[in-house]
Amino acid sequence: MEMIERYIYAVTKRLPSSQREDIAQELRGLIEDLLEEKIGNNAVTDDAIEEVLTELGSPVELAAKYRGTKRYLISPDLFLPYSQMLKIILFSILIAMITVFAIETIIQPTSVVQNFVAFIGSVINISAQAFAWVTIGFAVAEYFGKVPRELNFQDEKWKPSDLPPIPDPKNQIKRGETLFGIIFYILFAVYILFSNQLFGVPIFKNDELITIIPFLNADAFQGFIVVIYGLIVTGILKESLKLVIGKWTKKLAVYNFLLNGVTLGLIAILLKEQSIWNPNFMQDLAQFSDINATSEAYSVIKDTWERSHFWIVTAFSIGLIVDTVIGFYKAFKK
Amino acid sequence: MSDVNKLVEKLLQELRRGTITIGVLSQLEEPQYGYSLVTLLQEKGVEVEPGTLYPLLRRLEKQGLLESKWDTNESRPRKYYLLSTIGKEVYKLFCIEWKKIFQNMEVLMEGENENGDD
Repeated sequence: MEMIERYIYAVTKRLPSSQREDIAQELRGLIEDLLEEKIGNNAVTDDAIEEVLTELGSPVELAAKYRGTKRYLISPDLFLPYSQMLKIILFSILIAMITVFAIETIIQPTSVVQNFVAFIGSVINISAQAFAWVTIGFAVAEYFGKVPRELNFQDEKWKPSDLPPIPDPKNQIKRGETLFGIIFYILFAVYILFSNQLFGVPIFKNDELITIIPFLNADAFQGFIVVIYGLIVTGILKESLKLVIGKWTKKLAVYNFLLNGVTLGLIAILLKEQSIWNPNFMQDLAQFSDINATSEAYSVIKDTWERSHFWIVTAFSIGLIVDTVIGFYKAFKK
Repeated sequence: MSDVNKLVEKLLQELRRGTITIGVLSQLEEPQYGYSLVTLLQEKGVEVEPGTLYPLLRRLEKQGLLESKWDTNESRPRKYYLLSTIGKEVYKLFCIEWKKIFQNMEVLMEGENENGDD
């Protein structure tokens, strides 16, 4: 008899809780009817119960029939872009981590084993995070059904005029371009988040890399971590939208505009204070290189270094504005 | 040959899936519970597995074609299903459509036989 309850539990636990009680009672009745049919008024044996339950079939399948529809974390519609995205991201993480490992090994060849252990650890850790975030992103998209209209005809009544035009090669977004963009953001993310001490001017002595003078201030950097994450997520989101929509549409141009606005805002927060830059950059440069602190070359570099902060903000702003305008231009161009 | 049988079996399964609904509706002028419906259909030559019928009954009820009521007077409680007003109407129209399809198919198949005889 216990077997019957186990069977009913196995079916109902896969069903919405509002229906469980009702279906459980109906199934119990059915199983008793089937048993009676099989053995009449004789005593119920475990063998008979097993036989009846085998006839009813696997509880997983029965529950699926009760549900009617299949449930997905990521449905077949989204699975292809999901798996593509995952491959790209994991691949670029691997490349980025290998580069970091190579640079560290060149700087400190003696600690290669230690670096290698750290490398494996980071690859596993970061890959797991990336996997989780991509999956969460797609699962959320699945849950809210936010499949771009281009991929989804099912809603509303379909009309032939809804058919998308055959893509014009001119306003089509090259896959390679967006993939490159995503890879770039991930490389950027890995370097900046985990190895920002390697992001700087490499100093060579006798053809050997002795150190890298970082551009950024590692201490101040911690305070900006949320902003950096925001930048990376915004960037990847932008490239992903391009990848999924596949061509310049008005909607995409608007998304592009909004995301570029967010990016610009985040960059403004990041660079508003000068604290993000390495305050000791010039001293370190003078110390490790042959450039004398009193020489003319030194003052030229110092000047350039200080000006560059302003130019970076300007370059970012112009770049983002141009990108936005091009997006609208391509979307509205006939 | 087994390939042919397999294909026939598969096509038949698809065909039965569609007809089972009309079969169920046809028997529910009088209230029936799941298992009594299985035996009733079986007596009339229509085989249906309880594992298919029970979920189908619930789905038809959700669609508003059937009404249900628990009978707790008997030794074991049973859920009885019965055609609703809409269900009766749907069944009537469904029958007309079914006969049309049946006639059309017959015309098509007879046409084939004539060709075969030539």
